[in-house]
Amino acid sequence: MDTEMLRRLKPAAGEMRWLEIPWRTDLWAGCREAEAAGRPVFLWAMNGNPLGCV
Amino acid sequence: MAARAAAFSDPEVAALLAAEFVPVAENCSHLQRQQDAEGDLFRLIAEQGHYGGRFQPTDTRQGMYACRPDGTLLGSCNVHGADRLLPVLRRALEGWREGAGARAGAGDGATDGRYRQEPPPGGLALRVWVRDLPRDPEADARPDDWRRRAFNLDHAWFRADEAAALVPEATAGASVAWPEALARRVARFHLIDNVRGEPPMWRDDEVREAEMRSRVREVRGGRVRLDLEGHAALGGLSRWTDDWTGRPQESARSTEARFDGEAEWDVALRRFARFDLVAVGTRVGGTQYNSRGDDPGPAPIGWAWEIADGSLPGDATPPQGFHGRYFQPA
Repeated sequence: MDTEMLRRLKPAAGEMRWLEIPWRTDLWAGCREAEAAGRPVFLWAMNGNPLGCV
Repeated sequence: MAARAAAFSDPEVAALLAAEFVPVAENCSHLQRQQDAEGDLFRLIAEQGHYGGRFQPTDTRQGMYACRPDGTLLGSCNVHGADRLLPVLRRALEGWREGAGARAGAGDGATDGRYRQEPPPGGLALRVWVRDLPRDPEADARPDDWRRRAFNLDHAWFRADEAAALVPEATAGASVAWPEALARRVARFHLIDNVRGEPPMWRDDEVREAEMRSRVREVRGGRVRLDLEGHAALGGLSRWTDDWTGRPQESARSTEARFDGEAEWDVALRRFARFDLVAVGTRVGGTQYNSRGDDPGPAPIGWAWEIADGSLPGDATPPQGFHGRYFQPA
């Protein structure tokens, strides 16, 4: 297969920084975790999953 | 999508979110409609925020929200840049520290199953990356901004029986055509020009060709090493209504692509240990939400599939087209 094309199409390290944030994927569970941790919640909500196609 | 690069790739934003908040990412198209405690909680948060009460030009509630665990809003916005998000985060933290913590919202924890999907047990879950490919510089009219660097991510799922159907007899040279339904699924739901947005999936009657084949290169160490190949062509007339003007729009759109890949099937575990697949082709035209009004093509585009191995936070995210009869035969 064309490994150079595969490399070109996949994101470079600098394009993956938004995925280094420890995103949770469930608002309900996230609020319970925040309550236990004594932290506020930050919600990134988009039409389309922000961690998928948006 | 632009927020990924402009806001959430910023080191200060990332550090604040990781250290001071519980960061959550979810699909608000689902949250807005979920009839369960989580949907109620989202509606409570969103109606206090930047789009609260708005129904025109759309009823979207997308954006960024900081809140207490009970849903009390601390700040919200819908921006792309870190320079605009950071002040919202800082004000939210000030508000959080000034008030007492809050209990999480009440509810029985039951979930609206229409919007909760998990990858198929024992199946194959893949990431699907997409981006524009280089063009002739003389003919490239794209502005030198995010549109030249845009890429997107979707996910593809195969049930366990479907994944097994991609593997021929474990003999070098043996080959098998993918079941027609799977080849058409790959074409309809994954040869999508979503580089700049999230357009509708292809309809089944827009699939002109879709053929995929696996061929055994070698069998060694309990693994069947496969070469993957195929091609697909799709086309049709896309019609939609512009959200802002209310005017009807239409555009012919088409895509042709060839597939080339390699995979390894673990015979004992009956699952893929590797699945690298590339599709390269040409796309033409725009459609709703793919933001190609200034760039209708024809232009080169490419997709790359790889196993979603759980190392990224969104690896269990359903395919964008999941609600469009994804697992049903055509």
